[in-house]
Amino acid sequence: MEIVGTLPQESLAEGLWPRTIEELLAFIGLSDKKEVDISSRINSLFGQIANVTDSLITATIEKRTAAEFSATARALFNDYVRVLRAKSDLLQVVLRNDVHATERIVNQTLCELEADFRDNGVQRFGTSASEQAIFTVWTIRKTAALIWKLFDPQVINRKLPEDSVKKGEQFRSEFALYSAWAQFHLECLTTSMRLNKALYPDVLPAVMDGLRSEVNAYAIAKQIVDLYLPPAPEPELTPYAWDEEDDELLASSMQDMELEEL
Amino acid sequence: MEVLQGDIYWVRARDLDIEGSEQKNNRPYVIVSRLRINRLGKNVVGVPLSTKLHKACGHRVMIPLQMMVKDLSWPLEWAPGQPRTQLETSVALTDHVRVLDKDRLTQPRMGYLSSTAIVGLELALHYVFESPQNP
Repeated sequence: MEIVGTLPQESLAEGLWPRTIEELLAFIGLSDKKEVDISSRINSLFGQIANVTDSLITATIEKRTAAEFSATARALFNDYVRVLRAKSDLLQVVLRNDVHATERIVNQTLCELEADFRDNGVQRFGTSASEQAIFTVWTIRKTAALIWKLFDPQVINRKLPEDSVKKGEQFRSEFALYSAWAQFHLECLTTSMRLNKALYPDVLPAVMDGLRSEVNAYAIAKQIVDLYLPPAPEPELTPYAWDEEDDELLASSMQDMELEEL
Repeated sequence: MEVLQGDIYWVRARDLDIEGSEQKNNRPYVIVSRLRINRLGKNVVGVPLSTKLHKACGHRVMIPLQMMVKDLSWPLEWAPGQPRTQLETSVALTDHVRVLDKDRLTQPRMGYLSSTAIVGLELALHYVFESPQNP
C-alpha cells in the first residue's frame, strides 16, 4: 500500500513493528513530556532521549538538497522509531499504564504544537508549509482519537476471527510506518523552530511531502478500528420529492462549474 | 445508474458538450456523497481532481495513481486520434466540492479510489467543514 504524498522506500525493521494494540501508543504523537510530574532521574532520562532525537533530526535538517535530506531521513528513520518507542515505553512506566493520563498528555502536546505553528509557522516556513503542518497536527489528533477507542477493555480483549488477526497485523505495521514517517518530518519543523535552524529552500518541499503520510496513518487507523468495532448498518433514508427548486440549484451549480477557474 | 462513493468520473461542465469534447472546464471528479444519497436524487456531490501537483497543501490531499484503480472500460481515445484524459496522480481540491448533475457524468467511470484514499479524502473534507467550536 502506498501513501498519499511521499512514497517512502524504506520499511520499519521487523523488531519495531507494533505487535499489540498497546504498542500503537508509541506512534500517536507522544513527544515532549515536560508537564509530567516525575522524579528528576527520570526527567533526566527523558532529557537524554530528547537529545538523541535532536541529534537525529539535526543531522537531517542541515542537509542542503532534497536528495541529501531524503537519503539521510531514510538512513536514520529506524533509529528515530527506536527512540519513539523508548519514549513511549518510559512514559508508560512513569504513568503506570494509565491510558487516560497518556491521552491527556498527548492532547496537550498536540494543542501546544498546533499553537506553535499558528504563532510562528508562517514566519518560519511560509503559508503553505505552515498550513500543511497545522493540518498534520490536526490529523494526528484525529488519529489518536481513533486509537483511544481501541483501549476500551471490551474492545481490546475482543477475540478477532483468524483472517482479521492477519489483517490487524498488517494494518498495525503500516500504521506504524506512516505515522512515524509523518512525525519524523513534523519534528524536522519543530526542531528547526526550537533550535532556530533554518531549513534550506530545497528541503522544505520534501518535509511537506513527508507530512502527508499522516493522512495514510489516519486511514489505516480507521481500518484497524473497523476491525474491532465494525460500523453499524446505516438506516434507510426516506425518499423525497425532487422539485423545481432542486432543479434550479443543480443547474446553478453546473453553470458555476462551466465558469469556474480552478 | 449506480454511482458509488469513491468513483471517479469525467464530468462535462456544459449540457451541450457532447461526449468526447475536452472543454476547458470538463474534468475528473471523485464522488464523495454516499450511495444512499446518490440513489435518491438527480445529483451527487464530487471533489474535482487537478494534476497541478503544486496545489497540494494540507486539506488539498495528494492522491497517488497507486491509490486509484483504473476502470478498464474507460477507453484510451474518444475517437481515433483523440486521446482521452487518463487517471494520474492528482490533488483533490476539497475546497471546491460541488453538486453535480448525474447526467453530466460521462459513462463509464474512469476508475475508483482505494479504501485508504477514500478515508483520507473524507478526513480532508472533515477538516474543510469542521466547526471551530467543535474541534
